[in-house]
Amino acid sequence: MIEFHLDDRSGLSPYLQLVRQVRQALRLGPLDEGDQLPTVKEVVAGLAINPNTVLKAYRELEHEGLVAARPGVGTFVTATLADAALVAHGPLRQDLRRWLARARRAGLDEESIEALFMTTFRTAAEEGIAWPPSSRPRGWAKGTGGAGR
Amino acid sequence: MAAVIQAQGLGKRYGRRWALTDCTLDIPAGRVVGLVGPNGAGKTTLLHLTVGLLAPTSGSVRVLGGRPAANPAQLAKVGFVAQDSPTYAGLRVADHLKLGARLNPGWDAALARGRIGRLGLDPVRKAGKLSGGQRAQLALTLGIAKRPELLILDEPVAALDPLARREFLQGLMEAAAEHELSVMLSSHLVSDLERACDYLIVLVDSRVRVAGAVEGLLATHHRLTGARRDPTRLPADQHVVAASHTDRQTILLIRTVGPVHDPAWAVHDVGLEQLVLAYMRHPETTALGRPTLAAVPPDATEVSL
Amino acid sequence: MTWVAWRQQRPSTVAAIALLAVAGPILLVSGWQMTSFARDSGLAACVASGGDCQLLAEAFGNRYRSLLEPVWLLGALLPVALGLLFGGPLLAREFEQGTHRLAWTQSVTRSRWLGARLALAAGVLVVVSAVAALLLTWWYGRFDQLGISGRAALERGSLVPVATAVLAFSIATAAGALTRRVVPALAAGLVAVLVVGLALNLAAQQWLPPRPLTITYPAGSPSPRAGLGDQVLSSGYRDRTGRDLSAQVLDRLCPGTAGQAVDRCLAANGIQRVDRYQPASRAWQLGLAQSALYLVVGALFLVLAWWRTLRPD
Repeated sequence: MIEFHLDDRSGLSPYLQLVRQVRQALRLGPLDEGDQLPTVKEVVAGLAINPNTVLKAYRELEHEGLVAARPGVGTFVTATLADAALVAHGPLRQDLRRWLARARRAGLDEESIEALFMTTFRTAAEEGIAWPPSSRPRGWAKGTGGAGR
Repeated sequence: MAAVIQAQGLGKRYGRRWALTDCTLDIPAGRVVGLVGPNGAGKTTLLHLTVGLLAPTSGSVRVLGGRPAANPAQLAKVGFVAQDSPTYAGLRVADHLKLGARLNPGWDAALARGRIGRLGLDPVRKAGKLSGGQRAQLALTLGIAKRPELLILDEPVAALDPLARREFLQGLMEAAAEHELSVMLSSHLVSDLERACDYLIVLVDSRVRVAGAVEGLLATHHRLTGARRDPTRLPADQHVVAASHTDRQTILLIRTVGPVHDPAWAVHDVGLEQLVLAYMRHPETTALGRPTLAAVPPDATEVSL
Repeated sequence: MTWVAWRQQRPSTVAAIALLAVAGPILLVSGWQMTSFARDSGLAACVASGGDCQLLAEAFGNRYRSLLEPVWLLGALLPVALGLLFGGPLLAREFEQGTHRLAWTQSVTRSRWLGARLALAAGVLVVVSAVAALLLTWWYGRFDQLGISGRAALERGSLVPVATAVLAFSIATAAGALTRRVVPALAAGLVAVLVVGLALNLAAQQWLPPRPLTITYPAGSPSPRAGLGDQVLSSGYRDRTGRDLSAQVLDRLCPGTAGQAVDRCLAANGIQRVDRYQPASRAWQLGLAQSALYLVVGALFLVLAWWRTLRPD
């Protein structure tokens, strides 16, 4: 059974944090197909958050096809992300390591690397690369001008 | 969605002083409503008006469609936990439950007993000998076990230590989830309410400054930073809530429904606490030439993320 | 609601019983002693046989007359104390502790809550004060049944202590509704009870039916009604033409301290005394009238308390 936690200081809204934690658990293994997610009451009792937040998170996961609600019984996992993760991330991770090595050799420190990544990331989104709505960070007001443009 | 509290021009005056002025609210059911404001803003007055402990000087308020405390049926629909969780010091915990059972036809004795048991409250203990957190939990149990549709709490955690505070809110949210309660609780700290509330009312100086779903508020408020400029030159649909300037920079907190297109601004999200503080610090912004509408229009809250 | 009202009434009921447990034995013991003395000295037998018991009665009176005043005080103050005890904290403590915010947000209306609380408190108070009243009546009866006159007869009337308690209760409850604090309610209540009680007492004596009777007799001689147990309300002097005489005039006419010489002077001048009195036979009637007056005024104070409490601020 997955246990949720909330980070008040992350930029993410609580419901997004819950969604992410489920997806993370699916990816890394603690959650498997057929497992039951904690009931809304259990999550709320543990975290002292609004029940609607949990409902929203579960609805989002259902919308993504990852879980299904069975009325009167609970919410159960219907798919995993494990397979996709293992296959796709290997080469991507290697590319990223190579890029990081090059950035360091170019003299960039950690903060500069992060800033460079974030601005490019945001600019790329504006240029129309499709993002699934759930993984868009909350910092997006539609049509944002990038910082430092 | 049916409204759980509807207030129209509600006001309360004590002698010369208006404790609550021109309060108009339309709160939907099924929410956890946070009522925030500094001490003396009128939160307790508003809550007491909704449960019938006070009568309005002007305007009206309807709770679940009825006049507060008008009759036993109306009283049964609304639970109330007053500030400092008043209990009868000479009565035992079990006596309080018996009091609840005798005074409430809808009393759920099993729920009450179960809750007391899980909380570890000794039924034989006199309420006067309980800790602050335990008394708050007892008062909460009395409010929940009468099975109301709406539960109202006046600064329930203000006097509690962080652990007791957390346990109280956990219990409250669990009850809200289990019994499909609408809840309204007040606090002078936003941090107490941030996790739990999905509807926010900000009360400053006897007036409502903000009233709307948290989701909508967060989606429609942004912090703009950019080169120093005159804020009155913003587009008409962008309302400035707060502004500050350095010699080089201007930082604005604005409310708007649509996107911000001006590339000269960096746009950031606003946290709930920042939002509340901004409205508390700038109740009138007539100095900027643009009146600040306190209430978010209903359609603005329907933004989906 | 009944259980709730009773549970909240319990502490003051226990305190009231404690008060009675202290006052009761005092009355019972002294009353029993008086009965024994009357029997042992032969006074009881004498009265029963209808003879002249003047000497024996005087012996009894000399021994026990000093108790009349303290017991009268007890009889006046005990009901007041009981009334204050029951009424003072009833509303005041709810407001002071903030528990009214708990009580009035359950599923009973404010009027039902208040009605039940008042009814139960008043009911228990009536029972407790009736016990006190019966004890006092019994005690005074030691004097009365022996044909001993004095104020005793008219101090009886089991209704008056009960009515006094209810009056004190009503005033204290109203004080609690107005001050909303226990100690001020008790203090204000006590002052108000004494003031109102005295005022009503005087008013009752002067104006309440049945009106007092008058008897005129020669000054210097004892009243023809002496020893009949009248309550003499006032006593004045008149000259033979029927004109009232003030104390100064009297002093000029017949100077000197009271004594045989003065008496002879008064008789020689045809001075008469006028007593306004209530005969002992009216004791029950007067008690009833006074009790009714107390209850009516008490009801007014309860209305005040009710109005102040039921009207949401």
